[in-house]
Amino acid sequence: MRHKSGALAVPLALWLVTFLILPVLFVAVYSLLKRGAYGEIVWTLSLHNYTRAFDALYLGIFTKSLLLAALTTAVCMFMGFPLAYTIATASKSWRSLLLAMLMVPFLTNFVVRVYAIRAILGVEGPINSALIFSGLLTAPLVMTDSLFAVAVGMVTNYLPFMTLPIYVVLEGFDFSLLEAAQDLGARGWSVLFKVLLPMSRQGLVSGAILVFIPVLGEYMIPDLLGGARTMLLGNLITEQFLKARDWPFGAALAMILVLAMLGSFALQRALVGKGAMLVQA
Amino acid sequence: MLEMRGIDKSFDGQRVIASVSLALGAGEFFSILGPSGCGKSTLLRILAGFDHPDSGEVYLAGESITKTPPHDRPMNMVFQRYALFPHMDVAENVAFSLRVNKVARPERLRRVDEALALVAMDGFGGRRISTLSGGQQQRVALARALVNRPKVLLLDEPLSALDLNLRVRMQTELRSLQRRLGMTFVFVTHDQGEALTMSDRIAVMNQGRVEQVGSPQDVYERPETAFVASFLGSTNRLSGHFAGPVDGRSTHGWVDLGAGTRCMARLPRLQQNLPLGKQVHLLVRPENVYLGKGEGFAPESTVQNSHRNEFVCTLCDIFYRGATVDINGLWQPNKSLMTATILNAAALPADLRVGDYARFGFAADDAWILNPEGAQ
Repeated sequence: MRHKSGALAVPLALWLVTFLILPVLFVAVYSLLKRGAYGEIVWTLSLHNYTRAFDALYLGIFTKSLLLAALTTAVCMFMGFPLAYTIATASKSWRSLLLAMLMVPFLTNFVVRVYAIRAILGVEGPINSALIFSGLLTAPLVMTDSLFAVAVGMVTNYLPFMTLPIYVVLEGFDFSLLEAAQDLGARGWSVLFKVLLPMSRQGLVSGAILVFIPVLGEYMIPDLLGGARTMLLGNLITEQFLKARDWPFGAALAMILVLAMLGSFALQRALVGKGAMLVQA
Repeated sequence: MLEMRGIDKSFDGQRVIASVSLALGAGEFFSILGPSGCGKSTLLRILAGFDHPDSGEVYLAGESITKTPPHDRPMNMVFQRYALFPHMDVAENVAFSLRVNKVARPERLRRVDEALALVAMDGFGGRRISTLSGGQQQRVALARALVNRPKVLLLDEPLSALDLNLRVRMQTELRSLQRRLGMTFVFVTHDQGEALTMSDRIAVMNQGRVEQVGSPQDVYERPETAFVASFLGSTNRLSGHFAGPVDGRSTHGWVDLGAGTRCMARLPRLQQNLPLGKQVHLLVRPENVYLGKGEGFAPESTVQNSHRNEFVCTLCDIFYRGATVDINGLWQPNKSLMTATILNAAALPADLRVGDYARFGFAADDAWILNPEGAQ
């Protein structure tokens, strides 16, 4: 017996409508309203919040956030691909060990992990201690409360999100294709760029989306590692809601972020072809 | 032209190839035949350069290529599951080696067309690999390996994924392609029929060693080891004791099967130092066993001027196989089972029944004596 599966989707649909679609609609409506003198909502429709988002000040934050997200994605890709390749080509017992090691950070609280990075990069942290001990430095390097520390935090936190989709593709990869390429005269780089990377495109694009989008909206890591001077899109939005009490402007910024994310999904579809899944095993 | 000298290879302490030496002539269709795990694929991978021998050398046209990486060897390989690049179309797959070797576009296009025509795949250039049937993928893999005009083509069980009819057709095509190109083919297979049909010479491998090298006739009709005899085609194996060479001839010997029955059979070159009384096997192909009904029936043998061994068995099975009939008989004195494959079923007595007595016979020249412990 086969049942129509429509009824089974009702709970999920209700959940999504209540906790995703309705809130997004609220945000969309708020973004078109105005802030009153004391932070209250004034019910007059205007596009004022959107035009304000294109002020030089905010454009700068947008640009910085986009660049940081792009950089994080690139670094994650650069490190995640060899990592995924190593795991996928390891022997069975090593493979599960390496995968477990990749997942271990998720067993620790996110905030604790970010503070750990703060400690490692800190003035009295192991890196500075080692550099001073070896005589390379006389005074400690100040690395925390900077964009650099934020980037380190982003890469550390999001590396598994890049590695796993690539691993999924490589796990099912027919490695005799690499031998075929060598046999036909391709050298190392040629094998990588003509066969291995094009065939891992699905994993690379999925990984890029899974890193780029959350990093673009990330506010905890910049908050904890970036210090007061590092303002990124995520913090900007949080600030509008919690400190500036400018909900309509915060909502407009959030809507722009949502549109940017939808844009990158569209880009993914264009890159991996129509109907492609986010991660296809 | 292609030569391997003293190749040894172990994986994790497990010896997979043990002192293999082979020499291949130019333009030869050379098969490496053996059961799975005998080391034949590893040997091919050593030729291609994917694996490196622990010791020993590989020579191509007199020069050692043992340390040459795969991309610099003038040999190409057809992989077992073709290993076609799924992200490229047929023409891009075939053009791959030309592209990485920086062959100019007009020349490239011409040679891709030429290679596709060679395997009767003209007009398929723009097709995606996933839209091709197994046989078509096989042809594309061949075209891709041939387009760069290698000196040697390596084929790793390329027909094993095809269904029977297609496999038989591809055997013929591969063989005629090899003749037309005059190229050396090294063909790895576990299918003895395939090896016998296609090869100029066959190397039979077992447990990392080459047991025999020779023409299909050599390995089938004059096997030198018990393994070669049993791996190529089916054989009847009778156990007995060596009863010495036949007077004045070192080429034939006697085997005592017990119960006062002696059989004469050929003594292969490698078996000529057998001690008297040694436990041996007497082997004979089922198609060389003839059959007559009843104890007094005088059968017709196709082999003239040869000693005939005959004994009476009880028929225990009759299998009709279409073109042939297999008849199993039990020789009571030492419970040996004999199978006779009768090619001309019409010549059989019509009233042959299980349980009847029948005379099984074979010519001494069709049987041979082997030491079950291997060649001396």
